[in-house]
Amino acid sequence: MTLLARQRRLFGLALAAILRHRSRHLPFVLFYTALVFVWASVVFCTDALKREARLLLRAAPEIVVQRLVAGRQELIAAHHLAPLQRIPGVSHVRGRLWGYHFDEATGANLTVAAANDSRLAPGEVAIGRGVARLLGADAGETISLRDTHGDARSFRVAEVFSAASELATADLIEMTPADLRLLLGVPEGFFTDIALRVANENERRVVAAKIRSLVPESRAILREDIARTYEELFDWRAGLLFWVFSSLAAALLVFAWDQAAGIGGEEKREIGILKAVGWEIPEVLALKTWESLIIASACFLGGMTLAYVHVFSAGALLFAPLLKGWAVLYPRFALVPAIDPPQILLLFGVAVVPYLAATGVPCWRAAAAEPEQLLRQA
Amino acid sequence: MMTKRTRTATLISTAAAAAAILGAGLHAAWVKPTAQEERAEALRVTERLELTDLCLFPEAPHTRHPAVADRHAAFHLHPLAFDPHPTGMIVRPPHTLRTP
Repeated sequence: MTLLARQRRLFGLALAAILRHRSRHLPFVLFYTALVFVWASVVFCTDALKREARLLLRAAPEIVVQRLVAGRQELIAAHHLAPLQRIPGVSHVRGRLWGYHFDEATGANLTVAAANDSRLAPGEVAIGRGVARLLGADAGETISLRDTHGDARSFRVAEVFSAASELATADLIEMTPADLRLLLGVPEGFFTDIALRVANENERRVVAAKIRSLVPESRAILREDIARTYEELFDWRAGLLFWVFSSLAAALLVFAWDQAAGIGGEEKREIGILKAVGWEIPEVLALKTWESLIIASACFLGGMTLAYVHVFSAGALLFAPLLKGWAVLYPRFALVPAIDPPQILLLFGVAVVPYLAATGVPCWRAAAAEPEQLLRQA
Repeated sequence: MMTKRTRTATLISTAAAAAAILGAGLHAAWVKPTAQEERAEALRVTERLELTDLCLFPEAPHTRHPAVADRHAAFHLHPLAFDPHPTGMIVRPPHTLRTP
């Protein structure tokens, strides 16, 4: 018999044995599938958020310059724009006007921003979907915001940003620079911070050092640093969840060991008969390994499929409270699904290999026992 | 020897596993172009307004833009600080606090 034919026959026998003892395997299979489901959901969710962050940050400015006074961020004067523009490698410099607006009626913190090339007329705003939901406003309607003097100012909603951009714009209110200055009390000749465009990746650190020498009270934040912050942020959150669920993984391995060690009378009789008719230890061990592999693979595939549906079709329903926190306003967004082969392989390794290792020793013990002893115990 | 029932179970389980993998892969490939098109507007807005952060933690000003937040912001201390907001628990501590 060829090796392949032998393994195929062993696979069939292992599958038949699992089906015969299905009531014994069922609780373990459910537990194992649930654990893979949770782990895979965390990985899918984290990776999808990382992809979103990477995608949106591609359009972010390469360097943001903030002015610090007593360690706190302050408005930066417009006269810094010209020296920064003269730094070799800098293609574009713009003063950013943005800030926060606390809406007392709803208790929400909103982001207010202005673009230099605003398509909006004075008194007009473009709002994110989250703001539209919160204030119950739609395009063409009017919203009222309280300015720094405590006076209510009315704005006509010219546009509501699309649902697809909600991850960036949910809490955003865009208005003209003049309106923003009046609303947030930013005096003329000052900006919130300065954004720089530096095309050459290798020049960015040099430009950042030059900025610090030109504006000593500033700090330069590089886009790479922002991207790294997000990568670490999502890794940190996934790591916390992994730690929480690692206790469940440990319990699963103990369960697996216990189940493999506590072979029932009928299974002992089966192994005893196999050994009595001439099966060697490696063959019995191969049969048991196939059983473990079939169970592990079935649980892995079941858990992965459920996780995929959970994250990409049901909007990660079970993790939503942790993800959303206590915010009054939160974006509604669907994560973009992607299947990453190395990620699947890693999950397979984490989910299946420890289980095979945990069941290996008890299986070897059963395989190494004498047939007479096994039949007597059965 | 494989019985008919075992053979059927094998076939069904193998087909289900293959369908699950293929289904997920096909679904991901199917929605990718639409998702990319949808994200184009988000990119345009990000570029026009030169945004630096995702709207993931909008519960407070110091959590809304973690990339450009004030260094005195609550969640920049460490994740076990008495932070009134949940973000402090799930955002990684700054690099300087991770190395002795």
